[in-house]
Amino acid sequence: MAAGAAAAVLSSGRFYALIGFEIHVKLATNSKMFSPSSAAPAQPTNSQVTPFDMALPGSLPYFNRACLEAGIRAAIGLNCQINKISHFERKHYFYPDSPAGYQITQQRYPFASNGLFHYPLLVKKDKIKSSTKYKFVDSPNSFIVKQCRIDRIQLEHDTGRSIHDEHQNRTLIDLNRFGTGLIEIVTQPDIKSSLEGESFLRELNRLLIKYNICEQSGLETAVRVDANVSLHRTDTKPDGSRVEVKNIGSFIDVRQAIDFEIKRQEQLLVNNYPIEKETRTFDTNKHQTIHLRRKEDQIDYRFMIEPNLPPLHLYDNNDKQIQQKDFVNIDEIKKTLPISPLEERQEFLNKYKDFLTAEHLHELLRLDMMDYFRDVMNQLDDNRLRHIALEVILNDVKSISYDGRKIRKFAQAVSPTLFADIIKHVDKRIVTRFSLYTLLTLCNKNRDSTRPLKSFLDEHNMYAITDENELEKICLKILEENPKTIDRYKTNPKKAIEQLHSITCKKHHGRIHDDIVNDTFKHYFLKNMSTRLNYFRMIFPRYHSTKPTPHQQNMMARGLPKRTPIDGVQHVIAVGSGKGGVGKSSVSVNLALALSRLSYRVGILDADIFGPSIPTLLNLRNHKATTLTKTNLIEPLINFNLKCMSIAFLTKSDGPVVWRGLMVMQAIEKLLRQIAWSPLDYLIVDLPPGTGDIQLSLAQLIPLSGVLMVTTPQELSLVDVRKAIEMFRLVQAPILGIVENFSTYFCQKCGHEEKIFGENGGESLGKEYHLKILQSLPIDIYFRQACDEGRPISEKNDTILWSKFNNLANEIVKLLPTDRTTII
Amino acid sequence: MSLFLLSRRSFSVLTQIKIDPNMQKKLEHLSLISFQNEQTIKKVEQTIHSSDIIHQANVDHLEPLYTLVQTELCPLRQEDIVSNEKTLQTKQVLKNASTTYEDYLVARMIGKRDSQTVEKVDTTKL
Repeated sequence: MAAGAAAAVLSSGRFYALIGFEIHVKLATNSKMFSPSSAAPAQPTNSQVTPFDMALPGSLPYFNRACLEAGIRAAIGLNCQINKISHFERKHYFYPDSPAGYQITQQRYPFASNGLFHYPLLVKKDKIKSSTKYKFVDSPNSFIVKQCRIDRIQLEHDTGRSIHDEHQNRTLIDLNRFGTGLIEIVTQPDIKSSLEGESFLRELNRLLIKYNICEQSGLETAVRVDANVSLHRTDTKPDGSRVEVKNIGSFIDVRQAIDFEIKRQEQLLVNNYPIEKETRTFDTNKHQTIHLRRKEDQIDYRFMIEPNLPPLHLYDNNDKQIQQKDFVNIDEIKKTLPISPLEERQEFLNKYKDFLTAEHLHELLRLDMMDYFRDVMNQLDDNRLRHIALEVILNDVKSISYDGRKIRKFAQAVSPTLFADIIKHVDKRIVTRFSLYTLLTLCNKNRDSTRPLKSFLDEHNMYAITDENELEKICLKILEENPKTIDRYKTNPKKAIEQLHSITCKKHHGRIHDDIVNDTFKHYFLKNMSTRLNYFRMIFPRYHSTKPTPHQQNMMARGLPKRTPIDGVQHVIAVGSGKGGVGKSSVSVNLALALSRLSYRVGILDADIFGPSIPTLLNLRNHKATTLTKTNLIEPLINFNLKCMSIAFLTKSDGPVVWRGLMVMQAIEKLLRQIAWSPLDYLIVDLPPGTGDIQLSLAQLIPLSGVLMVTTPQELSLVDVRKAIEMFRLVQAPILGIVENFSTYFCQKCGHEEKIFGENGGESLGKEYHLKILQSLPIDIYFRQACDEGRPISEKNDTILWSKFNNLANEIVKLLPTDRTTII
Repeated sequence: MSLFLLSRRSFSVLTQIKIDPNMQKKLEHLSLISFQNEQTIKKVEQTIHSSDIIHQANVDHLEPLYTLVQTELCPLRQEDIVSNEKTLQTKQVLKNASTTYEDYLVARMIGKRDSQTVEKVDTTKL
């Protein structure tokens, strides 16, 4: 809550904050700074105390070289100027945890001063969009880097531990900690906000751990921070007043303390109160600072040079005259230092630039997983595997261990080698991508990081199932248990497979690979359930992906022409075929005649604009339709008791019709709507070959009662007919059945039956699409003659062909019954 | 060479330093010695006066000497190892204390000191 308020104060532009830190870092040495007892924490009470630590008379300090080297590493890492001669001092005050009555420090003559530290600004990802002020990445491969000047670094030692017992009014003292080496880092007030403060401290922590200056336990134990916060009105100079906040224990505390102080001081300034110089302490529970001591009550420390310690001399390679043996050479230490975290990150960006961006690094930094990341990268050779590892770290590992402590535990439990192993296994498909998360959780729970991966896999049986037979068995079992999905498959195959997929995963704990599951189910369905159409749907899910809802269908159909039935016409039957020359027109004409013989009112429309055959078949060549009814509809020509219409009756000459699509569409519309068809029971439409404009417009303009497919038994014809059938299915026109033409030939001389165009073509087609063969018509020479001459076959009542057509007509009537109001 | 900031008082034999109550409080606090009565204060004032003679010496051109052995450089303990011989045993540490409590040295309760996180005793555990 204070965070938002403080940010508001700063971004209002009326105030600016100056924040400086005094950071005490516990050095990671074995023994103490001035005495050889152990510096290790958590030892039995008062068991690591030497005479010097107790300030017994006669004891003298003996300076630990390791502490000096650690201090120099810090100074180099913070880019400080190293003072070759520095002095130890006594800082006098009385307190039980300091038996000598003074602390040895370097207040006025530190060994390092005037440094500069660069640190990246860390922002939470969700805040990037909202706070434009704190944009964290300038370009994909950089961070926003801020800097903070270091005033000085001084060597000093720690005091004992005091425990206050209020009930007994006493203080208990443990001197184990007395004398452990510390460095105090004092910064200039260059920090401008709590975010900068936290980023600075985190980066500093990283540096200290990397350079082996302090132990890796975070801000809580190895590092203590005091913050000096002052808020000023913009355009006023800082007046030197500042508030010191002590007792800050963690990174979160830092932010809260600074934010609270900024808010508090803003309140004072706004109400024109001066800001007192004081010392406050931070209350972790209440997230606020509390007054401790006024500045005027400051203690006079009476600094004095420590007489028991001569001046500290440091050397580098430039020094010719060295008076000390076993001296400390700054340049030697510089050589042994690893690269700074800043440089290391830059190196990573360069080395792994194929897949690593500054954003990734930023996340890794935020999660405190940089070291883990580095170790894992070293374990893997292939950049591809590394990329996978990075993704896994930023997703799966992040959700398992989402705070600093948990990450450390994870890094311990799942060693980089184990992690790399897991990645390799996933890559080789020994383990599936699903089980990766479970596997990581298991390994994390188990504390023994030396256990090989194999033992985990064996124990929990996490190997991927790859045996094909077993997979089939599993799939069959699941299908048995979930019969509903099979039904679902018919309407929405994609969804059905997804459902089966999730059921399988749950049941078998993700031991089957994603794609294998899908493939197995697909194959099963194809084998057992397929219509060609569903196969088509599987392979090209795009075209038949999901069924649109009725609303969607309505919306989609808005631009399309509405299907309106022709007035007075009860049924419209289209006779089509994918292929040309199979006998559509002959079949349609004779069917129409057969129907009319059954006392129905029949009309025939020749929809083949480019090749009208009806005039020839019905002996209407060179006739034109010229008469109009009272309602301005064209009267169709009538022959053989059929109402006929063709484009040939409307165009002037007998020549070719060279029209583009649009004109063709308009012609069809005219033929449908502007002809006086009514009253009719059946209108038979003779379609042209193919699946083009005309078929489509017909299907869209009027509701087709049925489609009759004509084919010859040969494969060549079947191929095209299949396309036509699917097209009609697509436009939702019901297909009545198949008429197989040229099915057989009876020799005139000997009567031998010869199936010239192949056998069972129509049957196989019918089986494929679940369609019925309505009739099989043989090649008949008389039929052909009659067609050419325009004498419909049904004139001769006793031919086989005539009875076949009669049967066909009866079938049609059965399929499409009419309600007859008049009987001729 | 390091430079000192030495605040100098102007030398005067006749002026006597007077200890006012604020100064008295400060001295008591710094030295942990309490001034019992007027006589003690007077004694202190006299001691200060007589030692003021030190200001007669002109030390402007001299650096203060704070160690007798000027050429010595800070010696370094080369090995960072724990020495158990030099470490006292706990009973030795507690030997001279009048009151101890469970290996802890005991002092009178004073209060919080700066730059130290103070631990409160959890009385439910004791």
